[in-house]
Amino acid sequence: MSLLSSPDIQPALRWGLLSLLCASGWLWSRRRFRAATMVFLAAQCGALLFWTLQLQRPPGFDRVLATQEFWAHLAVAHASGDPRAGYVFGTLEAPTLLTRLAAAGLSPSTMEQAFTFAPTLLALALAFVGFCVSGSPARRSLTAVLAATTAPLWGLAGNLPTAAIDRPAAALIASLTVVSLSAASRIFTLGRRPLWLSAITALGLIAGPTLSGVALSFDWLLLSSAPMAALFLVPAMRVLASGLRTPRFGRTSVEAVIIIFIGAAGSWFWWEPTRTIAGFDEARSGTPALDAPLDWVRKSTPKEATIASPRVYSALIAARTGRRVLAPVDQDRPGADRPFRRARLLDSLLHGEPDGALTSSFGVTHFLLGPGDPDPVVAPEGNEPARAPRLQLRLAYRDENDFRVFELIPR
Amino acid sequence: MNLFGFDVRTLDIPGFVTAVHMVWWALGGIAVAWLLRQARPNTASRPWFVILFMAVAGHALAWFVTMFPLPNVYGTNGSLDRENHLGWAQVIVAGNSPIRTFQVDQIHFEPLWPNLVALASFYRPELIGLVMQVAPLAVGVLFLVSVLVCVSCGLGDSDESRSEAAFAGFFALLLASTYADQTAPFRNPWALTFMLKPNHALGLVFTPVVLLAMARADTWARRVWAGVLLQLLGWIFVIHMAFVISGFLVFAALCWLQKRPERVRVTSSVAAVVTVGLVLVSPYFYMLREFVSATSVAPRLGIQLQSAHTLDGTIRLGLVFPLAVFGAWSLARSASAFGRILACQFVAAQINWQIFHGLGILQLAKEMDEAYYWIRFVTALVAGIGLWRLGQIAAPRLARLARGPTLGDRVAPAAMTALLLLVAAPTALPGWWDPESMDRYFAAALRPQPERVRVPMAFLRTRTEPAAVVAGDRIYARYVAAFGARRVLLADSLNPPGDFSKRVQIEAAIVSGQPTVLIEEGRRAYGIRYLLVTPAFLAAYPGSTLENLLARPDLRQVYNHGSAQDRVTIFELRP
Repeated sequence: MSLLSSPDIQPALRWGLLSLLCASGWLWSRRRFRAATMVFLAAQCGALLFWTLQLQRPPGFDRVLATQEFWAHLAVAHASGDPRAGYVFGTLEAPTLLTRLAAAGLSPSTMEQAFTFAPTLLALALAFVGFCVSGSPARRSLTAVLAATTAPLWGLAGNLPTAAIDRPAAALIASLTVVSLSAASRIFTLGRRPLWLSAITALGLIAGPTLSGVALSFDWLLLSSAPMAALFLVPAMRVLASGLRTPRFGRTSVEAVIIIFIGAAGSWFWWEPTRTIAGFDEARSGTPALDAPLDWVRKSTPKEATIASPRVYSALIAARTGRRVLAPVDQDRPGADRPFRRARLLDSLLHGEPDGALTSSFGVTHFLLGPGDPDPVVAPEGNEPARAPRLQLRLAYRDENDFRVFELIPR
Repeated sequence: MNLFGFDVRTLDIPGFVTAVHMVWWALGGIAVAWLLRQARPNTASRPWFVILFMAVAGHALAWFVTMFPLPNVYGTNGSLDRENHLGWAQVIVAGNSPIRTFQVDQIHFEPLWPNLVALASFYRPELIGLVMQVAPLAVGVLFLVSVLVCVSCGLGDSDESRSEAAFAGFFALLLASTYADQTAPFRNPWALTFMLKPNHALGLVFTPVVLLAMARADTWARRVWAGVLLQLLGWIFVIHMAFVISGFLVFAALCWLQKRPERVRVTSSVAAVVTVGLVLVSPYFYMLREFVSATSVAPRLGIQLQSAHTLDGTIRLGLVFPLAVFGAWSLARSASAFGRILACQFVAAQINWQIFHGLGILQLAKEMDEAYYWIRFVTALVAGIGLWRLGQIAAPRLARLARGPTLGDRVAPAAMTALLLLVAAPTALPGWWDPESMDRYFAAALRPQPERVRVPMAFLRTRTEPAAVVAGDRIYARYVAAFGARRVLLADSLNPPGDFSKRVQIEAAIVSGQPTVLIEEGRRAYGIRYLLVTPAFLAAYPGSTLENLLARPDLRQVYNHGSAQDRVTIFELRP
């Protein structure tokens, strides 16, 4: 993987992809349409997998709060078995298909791995639908190629890989939906109703975002229309190719040129997610320092435990351990009740004197601090009025990066 | 407030961008529908006019979606070039020399543009920002007009040549950039040329005029005239002049390769035009001598041997590239001298691009970004002609295959134009251009101007004399010119002047207070009246502190503002 992440290898990738495209074009000109389509799609999948296989974590996990919270919900749903469980103690979230799957036992790490393949699967799904909706072998293959390579058709939605990596769940579900529906429809209609099939594709792509709990957007809707666009464009393209053929340069040769250059202009050919997707570069690097303390928390605390920490760590803790946290990252996030009490408990933890009543009301059992956070300091006891019962912090974990986890125990 | 006087602080930019994209799609649909309606028998139509309209509308939409959300001039807070442009125009409007930069007494290397901006703003400083914002729109439209007029005249001045020219303009403006350019080495050619450097785009406006003059240079008077136009292109943007000359050389070589009867005349025409152009522009080369060093090696000017450099100049444009190859091939075989010159510009651009690869291996590839933008615009322009000609070849066959509107044995021109527009419009720039995610200069200009720039520069602009020269922080100097409208002794954003070491000595003398003879020389020879210091500037002079400067009798603090890290202090030099 370190070889793939080297910038020096990228030119080789581009030249390799061009070679595959040329091979695809050559096969097409020899009227071996299916083989040409396979080689074309191999180039596309190779380009997508080149980047996505380098991922160690979901892109944006280190930088984008929405991504962290998405994974936090899945992890908490998986650990608690409740699809509605929010990652902040005492909150509820609307269940989605994914949180239901997580609660039913599908682990978030499996989902992470599946999401790695989301762009590739979406491209293949679109190609499959394109293949299904047309009639003759050549027309079918050309539609598949065009449907999978949306960039030259629809500039706005052309960035298929980024759309899929931004919303991997949507891409995954949409892919599976459109493939299964199209396959089923083809059996029944035998290719006589391509428009109807394309409509199913669009429905599948719209269903993807909806079922996975992410918002629909204009670019996603345009993306879903790619097979339909290909369906309409292919006849025009074939007519144009017929018009341009010469005795020495037949229609399939014209189509071959078109295929090569459509591929070369495709968003997947030039895709460089490290420069266009926030957090992609960080997601390629090795295990960050935070993983060690969070592994300890996952192994050493009960599933129903609530972890307190400075707000910045909240979503990461939940995402990596499946434990609920005391306070959301965003103080103004709706849903977390009693915000002042949560803040007061956090303040008392930072001062080393956790309030017993508040602690038990929020179920807090552990307190995590990171590098730069000062150790909790107990204020000297003076002539203070009678106070609420206090708990004691016991250092349970400390590492070389100065991550510390304290256990809350009775005095 | 933005350019149009709207408060844009709460603007939903993604929604706004999407709305503009939808307007483009709607316009495309209307244009196609109108063309098909015009394709009915006995309906007179000018389909080229629709293509021209779509090109103007597309450019205007892309300009609008970029400029409307901005509270500042595009490129400020992020682009040295753009802030330099502002500074150059500001100091001219303030009454200083029109042929010198804001680095006092330095001869200008691009004198035309700031004077045009000053003129267009009626020498009123408050209008300079407005002119800088509107200039990209105006220059883009001028480019389209120039391509339409010159290409159609050069290719026969018929309805067909006007259609070719309209497609050439449409392609050159809206299809020279691709969606994938956001990760390209030199990013989006349209944005980096028309939006960021409209002065360079002015070179593109003038290029078709020079090519047409060359095509018509069959007498000595016309050769001299073409040479005069060529040197004018050099004054506008000398790199474009160099590219055009390389195309002329290929044109002469092509005539020999094709064994054309006029090859001797063409060669002498090229020699005469290039000679006249170079002679006339030679004063400018003399002025440039202190800016250009062709042999300076730098790692940032390097390209690896195995890079995808060749692909960037060719297949990154997708189908536009084979269309350009076909267009160039078709033009090269035509009888029209202008057509062959266009084809040769395409070939020369490709050769130049490969030469840059060689130079890059030696770490000598200067101004490669301009070569990149040039190859894109030339390729797309020729591709537009290629698409139209392909359509013409296919027209009779399409008439037989299609049941649509035909004109005799051909598809009606309006129907063909509609078909070709359908092919070209979906991937055109206004359909996908999203400045927020694709243009870092847009993102920078969205941010409010930092207080450490806004407040001190308001002081300089309003409380100091326009002829005053400011010494001090060389990084901050560009703000002094762009927003304070005052010249500076030294600026890091410009090339070092010929007497750089002398100026450094004077700067050091002003900071340290001695020798006084150098300070006096700075006042007398360079007109230095103020010293602007920042913590970063003082750190470069160990031992110099703000307290030391405050204690000096020959300096009087006239402005002091900001926190410890971003404090800006301005001293007046007492006689």
